Amino acid sequence: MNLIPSLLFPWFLAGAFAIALPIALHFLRRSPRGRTEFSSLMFVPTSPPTLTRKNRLDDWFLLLLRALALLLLAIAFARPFFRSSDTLDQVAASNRRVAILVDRSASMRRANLWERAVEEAERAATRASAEADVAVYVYDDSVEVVVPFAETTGPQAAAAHVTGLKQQLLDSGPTWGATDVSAALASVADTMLAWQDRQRSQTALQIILISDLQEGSQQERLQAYEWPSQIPVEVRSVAPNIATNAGIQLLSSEEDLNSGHEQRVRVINQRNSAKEQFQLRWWTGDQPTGEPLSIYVPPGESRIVLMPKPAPETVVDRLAITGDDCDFDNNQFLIPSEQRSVTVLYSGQGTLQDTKQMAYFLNLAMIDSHRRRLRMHLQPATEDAPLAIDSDTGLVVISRVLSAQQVKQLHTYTADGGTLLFVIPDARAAETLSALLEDPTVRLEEASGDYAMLGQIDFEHPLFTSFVGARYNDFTKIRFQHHRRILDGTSENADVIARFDTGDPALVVQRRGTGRLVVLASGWHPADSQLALSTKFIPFLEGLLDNSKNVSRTPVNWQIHDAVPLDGFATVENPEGEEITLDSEATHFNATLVPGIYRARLNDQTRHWSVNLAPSESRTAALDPSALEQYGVQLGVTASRDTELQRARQLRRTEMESNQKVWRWAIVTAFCLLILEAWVASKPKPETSPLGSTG
Amino acid sequence: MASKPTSTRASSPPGPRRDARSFIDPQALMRIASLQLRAASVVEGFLHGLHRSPYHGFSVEFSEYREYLPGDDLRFLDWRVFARTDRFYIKRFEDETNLRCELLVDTSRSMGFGSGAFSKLDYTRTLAATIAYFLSLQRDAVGLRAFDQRIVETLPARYRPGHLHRLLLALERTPAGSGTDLSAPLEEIAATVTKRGMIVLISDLLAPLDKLETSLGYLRSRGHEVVLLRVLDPAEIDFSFDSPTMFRDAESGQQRYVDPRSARSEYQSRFREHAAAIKSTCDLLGIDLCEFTTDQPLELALFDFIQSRQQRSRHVARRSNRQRRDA
Repeated sequence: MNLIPSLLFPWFLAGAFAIALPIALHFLRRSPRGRTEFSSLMFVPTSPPTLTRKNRLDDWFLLLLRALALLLLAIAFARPFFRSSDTLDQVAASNRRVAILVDRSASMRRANLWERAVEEAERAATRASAEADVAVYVYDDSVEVVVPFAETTGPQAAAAHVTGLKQQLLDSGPTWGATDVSAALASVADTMLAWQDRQRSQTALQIILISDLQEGSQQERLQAYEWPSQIPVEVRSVAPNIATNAGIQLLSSEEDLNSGHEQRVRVINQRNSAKEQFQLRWWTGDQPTGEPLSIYVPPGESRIVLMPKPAPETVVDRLAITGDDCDFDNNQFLIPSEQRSVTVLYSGQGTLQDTKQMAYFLNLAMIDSHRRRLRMHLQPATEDAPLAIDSDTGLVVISRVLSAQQVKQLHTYTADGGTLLFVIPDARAAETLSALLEDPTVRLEEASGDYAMLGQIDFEHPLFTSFVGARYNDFTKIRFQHHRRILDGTSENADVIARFDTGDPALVVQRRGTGRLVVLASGWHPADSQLALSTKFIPFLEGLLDNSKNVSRTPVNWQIHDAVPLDGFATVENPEGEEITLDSEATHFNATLVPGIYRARLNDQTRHWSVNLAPSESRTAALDPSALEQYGVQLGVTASRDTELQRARQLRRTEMESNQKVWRWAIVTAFCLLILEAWVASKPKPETSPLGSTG
Repeated sequence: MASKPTSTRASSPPGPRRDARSFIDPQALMRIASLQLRAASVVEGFLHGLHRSPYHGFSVEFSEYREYLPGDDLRFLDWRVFARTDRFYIKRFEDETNLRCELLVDTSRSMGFGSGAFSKLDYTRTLAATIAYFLSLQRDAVGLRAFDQRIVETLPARYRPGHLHRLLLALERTPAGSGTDLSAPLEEIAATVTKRGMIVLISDLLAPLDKLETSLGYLRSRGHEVVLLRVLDPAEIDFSFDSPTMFRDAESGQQRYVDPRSARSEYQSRFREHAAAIKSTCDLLGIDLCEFTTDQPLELALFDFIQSRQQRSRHVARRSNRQRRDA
């Protein structure tokens, strides 16, 4: 044990100065107070004040007793204790882990926000890495690690850890992505919590969020996340110097984009904007088209305006707003969808006028849309000539016995992405079916007995996804008076997605290349079933047409970071003119990193789509950091390692002091001294001075 | 801040100790606004106490009867009084008692000092008024000359109805002047008061004494009988101040930081030297010197004044008899 006492509250020792105060006041030269008028100074000598009896200390012993009592009281309040050196050395604070989360969304492109954020991140990383394990993340609508956590700490390791951080950050952003601060915070918090659980440590965790904290940060989603209380978030907001920002959003559907003469546009002016007047204008490439439209939108409000298109024949690819200070969200790219001519080839019994045959009902179901213009081509069943399949053929419906050549032709068609619906006309078509399925074991027979209904449907299959809802999945009203039973086969290379209530396959789908073969065991004409008369028939045909060759339902207007279905295209040219060659197995194009018009090519086919910013990114008004608290995020700063160490030591000292309780002895001694002082003071003095004495 | 003076004084009244409680307290007296009433109270109290006083009969000049002294004309002995009291008294004639008294009142700034409820000037006015009232009762002519560095108020000595009232009014309106310079006013008075009489100088004499002897000598050489009444505040004698402070000279305005505790002894020493110098000057010139402090009852002051006058008369009488015998 160290014999030199330590003090728990050393500042209370300042109370010991109270001893010196009366003595100092006593010895203090008294300055003259006011003036005394006297009759004549002719007898008054000029002499400085000298030490008189009043300035002398007489009762030294009393003074000593009182001073000692005061000193002991001060010591008692300072709570002295004797510490053992080994105990305090055992106190150690755990290391901290600090995750720095830097916003790199499109809104950080305003002014020099990104550079400031990078500098702030570097500053925070350098400062924190001296006594904490630091990782740096960037986020927009997804999170990316720039510098992972290093398991070593110390000044040298910290310096090495964050070396080059600034350049890495500058290289990593800003992007054109939307801001999803909820996902970013939750992701990083989960990562830190998982690490803490693995390590089973009590390491202090901290997230430093460096962002412009715009209103469109999708912070509302934090409501669904229970924020861990042990991870405080320190928000370092980088506010822009310029305020006015207006964003636009096209509200017209793709059909309206094609047909409408006016387009509905929502113009949003941010609440902290300083301007109210803006102009809207169509652009084709780098050339403005048509007249600009002036609009007035007060700050904090939005207006929906009808923007007239310049001329029906004019092709425009973007709408731009001018008049605000931030231009990163001023363009809205758009691609009018193209209405393509699609041919449905039907080869089977009957004519288009025969109301008892399938051809008649199929022709009635040919409904155009803004993406396609359907045309039915009827090829008689008796014709052995090659099927009339061309580049416009989007669906082939066969209900007859085919020749081997025709089967081969259909194989080619389906391998190229076409959709073939084979409606089994009767049991004699078994050979044709076997050839189409390339399954020689397939046999057919006419079903007998009462009518059948669809009893088992795979609603997860794309053909039935439109019937998933409870209001639409009732197929019990469709009765099949006649259907063909498919025996054997169909188990390895084909999927049965619907069965009759008898257990017989009703609908069989076989993937063939990029296309597919769909086999229906019954016809839809009244002689076989009530399918054509039901409301399910047209959606069923739409399902067949959806992913068929030449008929794509892929949207043409996308947002940043969307995955665009490729539909077989091999190369994509982005708005910056870069040619991106895709893997042959890639089904989606993910590199929608820049807003603008993308062009996909395959041989002589070209497809365009537009990519725009997320509308939320235009909501750039600054959010108060306390808004995060409303969603449960705990704002604050964890104590530094030194502070933690200091606190632990103080706790240890408090514990030792409370065990020893030396202050009680000091109080007791002080009381004893005061009793002694009272006794000494009560003794009569040998000589009483009229002026009194001090001490 | 001045403190109350101690009971020790530079000069104690001669004779047995008298009970001060039988006199009017000066503080109570000064509360009387009218100067005339104040003077009347003192004089009447004095006369009332005179009959009970063991010193009855000592008074000569201010009584109708004077004790017989060897050499006096026996014709004026009052035998009836002798028959009653077995003592010889000389019967005075009215024309003999017509005294011309000039009251010289110092009104300098130093007289404005007072450690108590009133200043030396207040006390001096009352004293002068008391003497004037007393002399008026004796039908003596009383005049007034107030001065500081020069004579500021002049009222020739007369005895006529209303004169006392004017004199008291002049005393009341006498303002506090500036510095004290005894030589110039005394020389002026010596030049202007030609008829011999009594000159009562009431002052604190807190001034350099270089020319005091010369000036008083002028008066004495003119044949005046000079009585010097020195009025002091007890604090001026004891310098009984407590705390160090900045002292300001009332006359010169000079300021000086003084710790009274350390300066007291030297002050008292210097003061005593000054008082001794005055005393020796007065003795040299045959001038009666009476010292009063403002806490002293005015009756006692009047009594001391009269007693000193009486002793002076004896001294003069003895001297004149000795001269007569020598001749």
